[in-house]
Amino acid sequence: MVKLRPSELIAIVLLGLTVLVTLFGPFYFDNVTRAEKEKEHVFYVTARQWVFEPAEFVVKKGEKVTFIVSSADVVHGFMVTGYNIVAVINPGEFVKITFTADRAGVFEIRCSVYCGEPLLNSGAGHWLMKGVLKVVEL
Amino acid sequence: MESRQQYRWRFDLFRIPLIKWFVRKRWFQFAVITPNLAIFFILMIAGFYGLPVGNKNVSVLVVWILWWAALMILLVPIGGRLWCMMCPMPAIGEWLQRRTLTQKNEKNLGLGKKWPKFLDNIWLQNFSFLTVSSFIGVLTTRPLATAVMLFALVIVLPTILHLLFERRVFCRYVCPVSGFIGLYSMLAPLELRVKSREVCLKHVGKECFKGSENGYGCPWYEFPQNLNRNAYCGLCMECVKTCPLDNIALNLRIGGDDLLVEPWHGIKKRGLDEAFKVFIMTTLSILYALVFVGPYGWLKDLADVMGGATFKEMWSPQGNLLLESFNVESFLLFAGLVWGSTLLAAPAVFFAFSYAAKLASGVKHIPLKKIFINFSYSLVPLSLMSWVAFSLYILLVNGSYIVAALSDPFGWGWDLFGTKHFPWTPVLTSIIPYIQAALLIAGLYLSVKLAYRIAQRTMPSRNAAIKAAIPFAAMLTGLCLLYLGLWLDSFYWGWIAW
Amino acid sequence: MLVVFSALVFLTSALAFITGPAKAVTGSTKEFVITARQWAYDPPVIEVEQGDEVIIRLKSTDISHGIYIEGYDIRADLILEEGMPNEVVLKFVADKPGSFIFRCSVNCGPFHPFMTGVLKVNPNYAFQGASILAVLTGMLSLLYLAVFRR
Repeated sequence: MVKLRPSELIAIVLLGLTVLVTLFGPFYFDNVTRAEKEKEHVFYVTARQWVFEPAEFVVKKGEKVTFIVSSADVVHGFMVTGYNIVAVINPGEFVKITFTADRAGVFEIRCSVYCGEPLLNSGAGHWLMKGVLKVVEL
Repeated sequence: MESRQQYRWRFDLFRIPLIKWFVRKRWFQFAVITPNLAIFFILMIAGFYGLPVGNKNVSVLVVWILWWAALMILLVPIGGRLWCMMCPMPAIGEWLQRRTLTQKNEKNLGLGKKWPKFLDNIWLQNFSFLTVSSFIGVLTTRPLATAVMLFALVIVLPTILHLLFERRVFCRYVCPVSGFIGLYSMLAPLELRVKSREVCLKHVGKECFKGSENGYGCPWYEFPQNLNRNAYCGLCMECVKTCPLDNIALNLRIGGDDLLVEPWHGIKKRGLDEAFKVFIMTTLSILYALVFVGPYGWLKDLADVMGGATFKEMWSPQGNLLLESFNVESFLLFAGLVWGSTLLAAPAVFFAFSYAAKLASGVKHIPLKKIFINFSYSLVPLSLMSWVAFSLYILLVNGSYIVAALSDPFGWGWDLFGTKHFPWTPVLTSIIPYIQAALLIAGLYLSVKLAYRIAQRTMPSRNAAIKAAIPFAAMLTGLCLLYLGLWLDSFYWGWIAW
Repeated sequence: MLVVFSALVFLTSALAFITGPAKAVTGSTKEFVITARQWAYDPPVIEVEQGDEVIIRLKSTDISHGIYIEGYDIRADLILEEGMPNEVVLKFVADKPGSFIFRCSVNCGPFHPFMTGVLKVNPNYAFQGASILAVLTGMLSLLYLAVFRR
């Protein structure tokens, strides 16, 4: 058993703390932040070529809804037809959209900024990038 | 053979009590390394789990803009191997090898083999740097790639090497960064030397190399008694702790012969490995500028060896487009460009000038190889200035991304410091070309001066020295014009447009 | 050595003042249609004379791009929103001579920070001056060292 000097003990503790904070700290902090937001009916949406993740949202009529939309690659758009919501989503930016779901029904969400397609004139890619918002009556 | 280097001014930093005290503590290395280790861990997490957008992810931004610029502009030209003192890459391996974080243990963990003699040069570092360069297009744009590289360089490779071999073989023989830091550190005004070599010669113990109860023998395989170049001294301060005669000094200096002398006072000769390192760095400063700043879309597509255009045939039915394919053809072409230009084209050009110098000087008895190797060091100041010009440009144009990314390092939606929406702001763009020109011309002067000093030491007479220096001065001027054309005429030479 | 170093830095910075003065509008207008793709412009290099009025029409073949001209510090973004045209126009007077890199100002994928093109405003005094200074430095410093330093 090697004799441990006080400086070595302190170093071991510091290293342990460093590892804990840097490797696990971020995940813990993020979980805490998101848990708080979930209480207010907040949806995190990631737009990437060529899907929204997640793409389906169900809320009750009259609720205050917040979308926090970001893009993982290029510039996309976030448009909710029927609620007159149009936003441009730049990569890395988190756009916060808050509104009250006062009308019931099924509303289409789609990408309002052309974001490419696998082959020109294929009709796929950007043109198929959609989601859906369901507002249900109580 | 010289026993004293030529200086205009020297000041021993160990005369400052605080510095001397700090450096002698066994926890000194731990204290300077651990913060950087923490940073590298965060960068790895950001790269693996963060947003895949390269210019918004701290992983890419900190490694390729901030750290790269800090190394090239500040740490290396001024501090020499100062980064190596605080580098976290060998840390885990070394702590395991020594079985301690701060203390001196007698028995080490691991096999403790000796490094093979045929690898006692920097060829491995040359190849590791070229390997990194072959993937540079992907590394600088995909956070995942940077994270994988960091993982390999911080966790995997040094740990394996330090458990197989003794001392810091990773740092001395393998690390890609170490190669160019070592080369450019020879220009730096910071150096570690013995105060008096005579004192060393009379002393039998040689604890600085063998180790003592106070510390380990030099992990970099250097022998302070003979240390006359900065190239391989990692400023780890073990020798300062072990020397019983307090004969080690950390000098700030003006003047120095690092690029002129043979290492180890002539016992060990300089070889082609360092000469080729000079060619690699010089050529890559041109190639990187062409790829990253030049308007050549085809070259960028080659460098982007992942073939990652948004519409690839690999688009999967689920719509997850980040499934990019590794484009073998593009990789081979780009790697061929990297390895061919640095290991074949550039040395060939330099060889031509060396031959011209030999003819011009008229000396028959000095081998061409010696002229080739000795004069290759004259490129160092100019190529360093070219790297400073490149790094400064990238820092000033794209550095503002870092301000935003610090508030949201992982791209998870945080806003820690309120700077999340800091806009992309290129700064000082109207005067950058002039700063670059000033750096390059100053570098040209330093290189020509160095070429002349090398000529004085290599050639037998003053006449021969002047005649030998002329072709090199012409070559250096041509190289400077090339660099100026890159930065001030913005890469447009009609015949290679597009 | 420090003296020479600083002198060189000073001289090169002085170049900035020689090339600085802006020229009045020459009256000639040059129009360019630049098509952007990931990650290059077509044409990648455009050339004008000092004093020309320059009109750049930026179009895109794939996704949203933009253009930012270094040195002039002007910018135009082309976001392909529904119902908006696939073109944005940038108008300016090329009063500063030299070679200016223009780059993409809209995040358009991995190589976005490296998506560049070049605007050349003739005559390129900065380059000409620096080249002359470089040649002089290279040749004269050797002369100086050979004659005055043993």
